[in-house]
This record gives sequence, C-alpha cells and structure tokens, in this order.
Amino acid sequence: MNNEAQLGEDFIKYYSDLNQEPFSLGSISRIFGGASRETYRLSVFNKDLDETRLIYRRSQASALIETDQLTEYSAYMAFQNSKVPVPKTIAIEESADSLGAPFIIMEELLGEAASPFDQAAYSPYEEELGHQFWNILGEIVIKDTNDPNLSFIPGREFEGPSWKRELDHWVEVIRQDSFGVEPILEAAIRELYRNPPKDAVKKCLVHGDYRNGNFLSKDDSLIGILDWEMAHIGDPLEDLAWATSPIWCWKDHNRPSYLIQKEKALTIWQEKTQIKIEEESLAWWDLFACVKGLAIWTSAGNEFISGSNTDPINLFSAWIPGDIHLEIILETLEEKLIKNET
Amino acid sequence: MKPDLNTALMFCAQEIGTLFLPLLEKEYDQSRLGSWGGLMLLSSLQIDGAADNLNKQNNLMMEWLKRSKKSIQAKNLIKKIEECESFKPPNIKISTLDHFNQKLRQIFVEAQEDLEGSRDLEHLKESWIVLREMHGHRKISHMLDLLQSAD
Repeated sequence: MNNEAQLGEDFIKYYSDLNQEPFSLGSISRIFGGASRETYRLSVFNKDLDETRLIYRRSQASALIETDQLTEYSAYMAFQNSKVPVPKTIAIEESADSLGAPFIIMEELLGEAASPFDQAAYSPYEEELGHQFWNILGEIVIKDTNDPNLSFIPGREFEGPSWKRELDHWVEVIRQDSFGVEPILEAAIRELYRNPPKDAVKKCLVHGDYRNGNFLSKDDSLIGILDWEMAHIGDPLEDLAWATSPIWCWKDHNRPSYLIQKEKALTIWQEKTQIKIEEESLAWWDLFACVKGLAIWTSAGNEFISGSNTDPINLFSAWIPGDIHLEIILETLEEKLIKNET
Repeated sequence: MKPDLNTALMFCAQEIGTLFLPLLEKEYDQSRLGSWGGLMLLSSLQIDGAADNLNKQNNLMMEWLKRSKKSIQAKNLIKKIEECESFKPPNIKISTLDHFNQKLRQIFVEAQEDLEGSRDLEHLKESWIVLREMHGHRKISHMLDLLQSAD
C-alpha cells in the first residue's frame, strides 16, 4: 500500500470515529502548490452512499513558514456563514497522535484557484470578481476582533506598533534562513526602520496573504478566501499593500491581482472600511510587502538548499518571485534617492 | 567536441514534458514533475553564463568600492576593501566566484550603510546603478513566460 492509500485508510477511520458512523473512502489525491501544508482532496461516502467532499490540510514535517494550524482554523471559524466566504470547518487536531501530524478538515468548495502570475486567469469576470475581492478585504478589516473565535490569533498581546512587530518578525526569518547577502534587501530593511509609518488607525484582523491565487472563484462569483495560516492582528494597510503589490500583477501594475484598476480598488476598500488611506504609510507597507515576500522566498530557498523540503515550488519561489520583489525594491529606492536629490 | 551540459539538460527537460509526464496518473505527480521540467529548462538556459555573470557582478562591486573608498569613514571597512583589492581568485569555478561574490556583497552593504550615514549622495547614487546592473546579470524573472508555457 502506498503512502497516500495508507493515509486515506487512516483518515477514514478517524472520520468515521469523529462522526460516530461508518464512512468509506471514494478517493484521495494530493493538491499541488503551497509548501507550508500538504493538502489533500477526499471524497467520502456514508452508509447510504451520500458523498461528502473534503479538504484535509496536514502540517509538513518541514514547513516553509512555521505557523499554527489553530491560526488558520480560528479564522475560518470566525467567518462561518458571513460575508467573507470560507469553507465549512469540520475538525482540527493540533497533536500528531491521530494521523501522524496536526491537521484541519473542511468541506471542499467547488471552485477554481488561479496562478497569481496568470494575467488572464479571471477573464472575462475581472470586474465582478474585483468588486467582491476588495469588498471582502474591507469586511475583514471591519470584523470585530473581540470575536471569541479570534482569541488565538497572534498579535493581540503586542502593545507596540504593528509595523514593528511585523518587521522584526520577518527580518528575524531572513536572518535565520538566508544563505547569502542581498544588498538590495538590506537597503530596504534599513529604510523601513529609519522611516516608520504612522501608527495604525485601528488594529484589525490581517489575513496575511490576501491576493490572487488564494481565493476560489466560480464564473463571476468569489466563493472562498483561503490560506489564512499567516493571519494576525495588525495594521489594515498591511493586507492592502500586500494585495496591491506589483508582484501579483507583474504584467499590468495598475490592475492589482489582475482584477480591477488600482484606483477603483482603493476606493472600494476606503468606502467599506471608512478608513482614509494615508499615502506615506501605505508606501511604507508597500516596501514592507517586498521585505516580507523576500523573507518567505528566502525561507523557501533554505528549505530547498538544506534538503528538508525539495518540492520544486520552493525552488521556483526562491528564483522567480524573489527576483521580482528585488526589482520592486530597486524601483522604489531609486525613486526615493532621486526625490532626496531634488 | 562533446555535447554541452546545457544541451543535455534542455533535452532532458523536453523528455520529461513529452515522454514521462503523460505516463503519470495522479494530478499532483504530473504537476510536480512538470515543474521540475520547467525549472530544468530554465537552468539549461542559465548555466552557460553563470560564471560570467558572477564575474561581472564582482567586477562591478569591486570598482565601486575602490571609487567610494576615499569617502568611507570606517577604517576597518577600508581595510576589508583593500584586502579584496589584492585578492586573486585561485580559479574561475562558479563556487569560487560565488564565495568571493558573497564577501563583496557583505562589504557592499557595510559601505552603503557608511555612506548613508555621511549622506554621500554621489556615491550612493552610483551604488544603486551598480545594484541595478548586478540584478540584470542575475535575474531570471523575465523567463516567467517560458516557465508558464512549459507547464
């Protein structure tokens, strides 16, 4: 029996115990992409042969960025049956006792996830999906952070400025995982510490990786926001800057996440959140997005070089997105230097 | 003349995509092998120029450090630059050039920081021209289209 078949057998035993009725396994298949979790799609049947389609997300022995399963599960719990579409949650196991690694189980949403580098991925529904995408980000910002489901989300206890918590965290990842020196990145880090942004207008829930590729759509409907493992309490501008970063619209910089025009996106976000964007602070978060991105790509490269996870996605991440973020930093800091001269 | 390593890698990448990929049943395995094929194709296009790119980066950094030396305040840093000036790589293996490249990059960072402290805009501006050119020698993100078409 291969690993996947064994995993399916162990899973169905767990799932039957959980539901206190017998289930049988229809199929199990691993989904490619995303190196922080092993994600499987399963089809299971009850004794009346009713089918349920599930998603089983299991921690990797070596995870790209160390995150807690509880963080992601808490965010999904907080948005069940809300204006922020998420999969229906079923179970979480934080220990490795049941199936050899911590995991969460959700119902599968039947939609499509696109590559963030495919500029035609949402054609011809960019307009409809764009409005939903930016309105949903606004909904996340206005979510009551006192929701008991969010009590385990990181960052709540931090009393200092959100920018410092985030910058310190990602610089630490870079220091731990870098195999080499990158002067462009180092210059960006110095610039961010030298000129911090204003304090957050409010502290809110931050998705942490809100962008194209991390949501499911079906025709003109956005049916699920996924990948909440980096969620935390922080500055609302963080997700906004990440989602509008040119890396996610590399061939059309004015159409973030390859949806609607940036100006329109920012208007929708401001109307929904009732927050007026402070341009200099947003510019800080734009540059921060590059540093955070490079921390993630550096970490991916480290996993690959050290041999702890040789998934080709780690090699791709270190090569291509890393280059793009360096190029964005180059453009930003060159422009800043020219401004300082005049 | 024997076939080059880059030619061998290119044909290997093609065979992965056309011969072996269709034999796999699982979507995950297909995607993973397809990614390897794409990344191998990219490597085949890069490998020939790798040593030359590193050499050019090293020369760019070295020349800028020499020019900027007179404006740098930290004596320890000046000493490090002078040590690099007198360094002659024992060979032109990629690993040797890369090792020197990393040493120069560290000194470059320290030099930029020093010049930022003294607000030496002239040399700082030059440093960004150097970084832009170095990035051009190293980046592969312009091959994203090729990688996507190989998928």
